[in-house]
Amino acid sequence: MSEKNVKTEKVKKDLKNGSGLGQLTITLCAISAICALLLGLTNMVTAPIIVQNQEKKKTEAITANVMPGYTGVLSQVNYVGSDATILSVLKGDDNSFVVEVAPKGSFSGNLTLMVGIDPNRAITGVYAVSSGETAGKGSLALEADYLQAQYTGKSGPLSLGGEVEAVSGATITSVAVCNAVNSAFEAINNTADGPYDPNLTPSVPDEPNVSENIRSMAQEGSGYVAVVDCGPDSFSKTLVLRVTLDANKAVSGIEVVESGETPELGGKVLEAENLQKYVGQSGTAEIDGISGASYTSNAVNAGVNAALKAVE
Amino acid sequence: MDFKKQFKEGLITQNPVTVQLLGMCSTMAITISLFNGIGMGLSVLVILTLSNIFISALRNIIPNKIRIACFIVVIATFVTIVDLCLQAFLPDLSENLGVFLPLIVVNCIILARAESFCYKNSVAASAVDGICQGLGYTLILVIMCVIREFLGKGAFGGGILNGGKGIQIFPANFAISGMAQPVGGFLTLACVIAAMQYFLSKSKNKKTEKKEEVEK
Repeated sequence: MSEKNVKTEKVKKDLKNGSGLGQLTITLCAISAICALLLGLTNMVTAPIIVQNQEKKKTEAITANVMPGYTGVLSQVNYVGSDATILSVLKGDDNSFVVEVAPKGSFSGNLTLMVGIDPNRAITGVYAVSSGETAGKGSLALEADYLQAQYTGKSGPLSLGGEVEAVSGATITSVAVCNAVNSAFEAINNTADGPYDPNLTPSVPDEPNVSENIRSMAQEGSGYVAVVDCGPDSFSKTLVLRVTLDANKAVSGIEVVESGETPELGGKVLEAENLQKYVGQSGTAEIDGISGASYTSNAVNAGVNAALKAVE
Repeated sequence: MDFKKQFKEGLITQNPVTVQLLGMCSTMAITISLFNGIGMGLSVLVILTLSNIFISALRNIIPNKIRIACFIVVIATFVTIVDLCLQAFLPDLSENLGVFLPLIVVNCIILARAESFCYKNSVAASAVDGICQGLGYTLILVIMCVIREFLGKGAFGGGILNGGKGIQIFPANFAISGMAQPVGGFLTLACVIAAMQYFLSKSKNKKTEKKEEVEK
């Protein structure tokens, strides 16, 4: 028994102190192989989850900053143009786009922006994904307030000094942002799906009873105010909205003048947060209906479009 | 394998940070919020224990000449596994820890324990050693987090309490913002080590006094 022990001990000692190249190589390779196997198994399990997390993070950034309130699915489309600053183009199922651009000529050379463009070719938001611009100087041209005020709701191509104002002391970054936005507008015409086709813009569903129930329409400043009677299509037959349109004939505000809709059903459509979704839309407007409140959703939609039609 | 002895050693008498002076860079860099401190401490604990078990199990096969290379391969493997798992299941912690998670590969604590303990001891003892040393490391991280957050931001429990913002004990304007910077890390760590050494030497003196009395 003790002889066997001595033998095992000797073998162990030999293994540990062995210095033959063959033994060293084999041992190291064997250990590496086992480790590689463990890593491969872990990767198999975690890789799909990690990809999911990254997509989720990107979508959250988009929903929060670039296309507020967007609930659809964005999928990558092939960019076939020649602009090297376009990183990726995502297309939504309602013909909206999110374009990731890294414009040339930024101060740090390291600026990536996301530009959201809605089906009516108005900007929904511009967001700096990553930037090396100087804090307090160039970064002022990337702040949410500035980007919101200068870009949201406008349609390209835009020019500094014209539709868009630069930030004083941050000219280079302002120029880069403007270039990025213009590149984004170019990019959506250069995807594998072909150039922008206005006929692809989703049309408003059949509007059964919409006679132009425009009670009043007046010019206000550079825009218009229309008081629309949406009653015929609504649930309670009593629904009057005041639709404010801006100089670009896009919705800039909707207020409820009178409503008999059920508060917890149709009322949800009339909440400020929901009506806000119409802001910025022009031509033909549409927002997601709220389930359980189809009458009111359709009535509001018909009313807003009646107002838009009236100013065309 | 004396669990009580190893536990005491891991936490106090052979604490990896304050006595063995290992793994100090990550200690100073991570201890800005409690969530990061606890997260990092537990990650090191898991990696330390797993690599201790693995290396101890292979201790009779790993030749002396290439033992460091083998240790690094094993440690790097477990660090990567933990990194992938955190990215998948705890992405917030993974983002907060940032580059310091991959840096655990060269965290001296793990390499030192592998070399000095696991290569010569059984799997069970090594596992216990990993847990105890990991706990000691986490303890110091928590202490430093609490001190630095309190003095540097006037808060407690950043990342965990109060929906992630931490409980504001006094307004941040009155806090010493330098404590949340690297200089604060150095100063806090120095004070913690000094305090630990003081209490250790005091208890050592007490013991020798007692021994002398008994001998008398």
